[in-house]
Amino acid sequence: MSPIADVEILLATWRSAPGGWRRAWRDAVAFMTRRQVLVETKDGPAIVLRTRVRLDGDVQTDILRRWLDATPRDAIEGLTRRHFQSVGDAMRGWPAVRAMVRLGTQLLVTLGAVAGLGSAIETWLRVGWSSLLSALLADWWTLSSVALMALAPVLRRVVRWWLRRKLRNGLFGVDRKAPGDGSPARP
Amino acid sequence: MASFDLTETARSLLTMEANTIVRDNMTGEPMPPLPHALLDIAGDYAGLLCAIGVDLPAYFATPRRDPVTFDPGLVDNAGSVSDLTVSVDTFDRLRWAAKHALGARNPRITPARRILLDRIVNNSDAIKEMFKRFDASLDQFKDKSRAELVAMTIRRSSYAVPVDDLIQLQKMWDIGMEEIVAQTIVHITGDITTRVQSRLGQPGSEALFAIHRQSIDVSVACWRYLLDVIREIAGTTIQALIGRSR
Repeated sequence: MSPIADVEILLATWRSAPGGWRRAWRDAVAFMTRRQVLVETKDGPAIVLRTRVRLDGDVQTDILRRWLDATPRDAIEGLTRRHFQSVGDAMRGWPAVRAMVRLGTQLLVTLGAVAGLGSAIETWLRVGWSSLLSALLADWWTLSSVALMALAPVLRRVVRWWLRRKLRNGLFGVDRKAPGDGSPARP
Repeated sequence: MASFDLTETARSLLTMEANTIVRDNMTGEPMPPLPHALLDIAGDYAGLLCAIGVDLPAYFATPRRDPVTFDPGLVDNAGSVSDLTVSVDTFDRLRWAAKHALGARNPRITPARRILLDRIVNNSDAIKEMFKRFDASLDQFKDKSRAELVAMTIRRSSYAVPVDDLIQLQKMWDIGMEEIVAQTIVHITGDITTRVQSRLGQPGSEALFAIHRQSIDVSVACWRYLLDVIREIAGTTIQALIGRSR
């Protein structure tokens, strides 16, 4: 995918989803932690609609019976439309995160290449061909540029590793004795 | 440490399932730690079996009898079971209790309950298989009751479970013993199957159907994103699997 396409994805996320790329990142992390996208919609104090989009492709929508029975059809339709709009927005966070990571790595490579090339040309002009290699190996600018370019694939691997860790650990294994941590088991 | 394998999850992405459930109440609680979640699932199953009239205490009585050959039948005032534990034995006994109830000729076994009993049999079998895959880190919780688990400190890093199993368990915990009023399965080949409860054919169910239809629309729209997610975090084997299937 081209950087322009990535920028377009980010701009679309920025315009469509409230909260922009920060919300996109938070949604993606929540997706990994819960292994599902969870969107709840309230009508008054009660949760009346809840949709889970699971990683295995299952979508489960829970509806509160008393709300369904007692609410006028128009009101149900309006709230339902907004609810599923939110589900779609939450899912759109993922491509934005991928675009962010891709752009980040491409930016690192570009910065490294520009800085390294500039430094190499400057060194060549200064020392000529004869001792160019040894001069480049001793030049901090050149070495930093190479390191910057090497960092790009590392960054991508680190993000992948971190997301896997989130997915694996998720919401389990919480210390049940810690105050405010974890959730109570059903009686 | 459990290996990171999303093969089953990637395979299940070849079909999408949209379920609509009508609940009497909704709380926002997330799934608890795995040992508690297993006991929640077992408790839900035991609750339904007792409500139907299965003599569950007889299945869990000491000395334990072989549940395969032991069928005490349905009773009028079935007692509850308090000694459910995180074990294969618990899910095996629940499984056989549900299986025997399915074979009973009794008006209490309605078509809707038959589906729930089938779910107990299938999910109990799936959980029994998961126990074979659980590594030694979960041994500390095996055969523990709820009271014993509550007395323990369960830490985030104290056990590991295969991710595919976690996803499956989460679904079992989420759905519990709720009746699915409408279900649509979309296959990657384009086949679509929809099942609805017969009572939904009556007037007044339009709003429910409209919600289910929007749920299907969202499912299909999200499909590409889910493939992207799996491709990004899974290994090259799964990337090849998804690549072939697209």
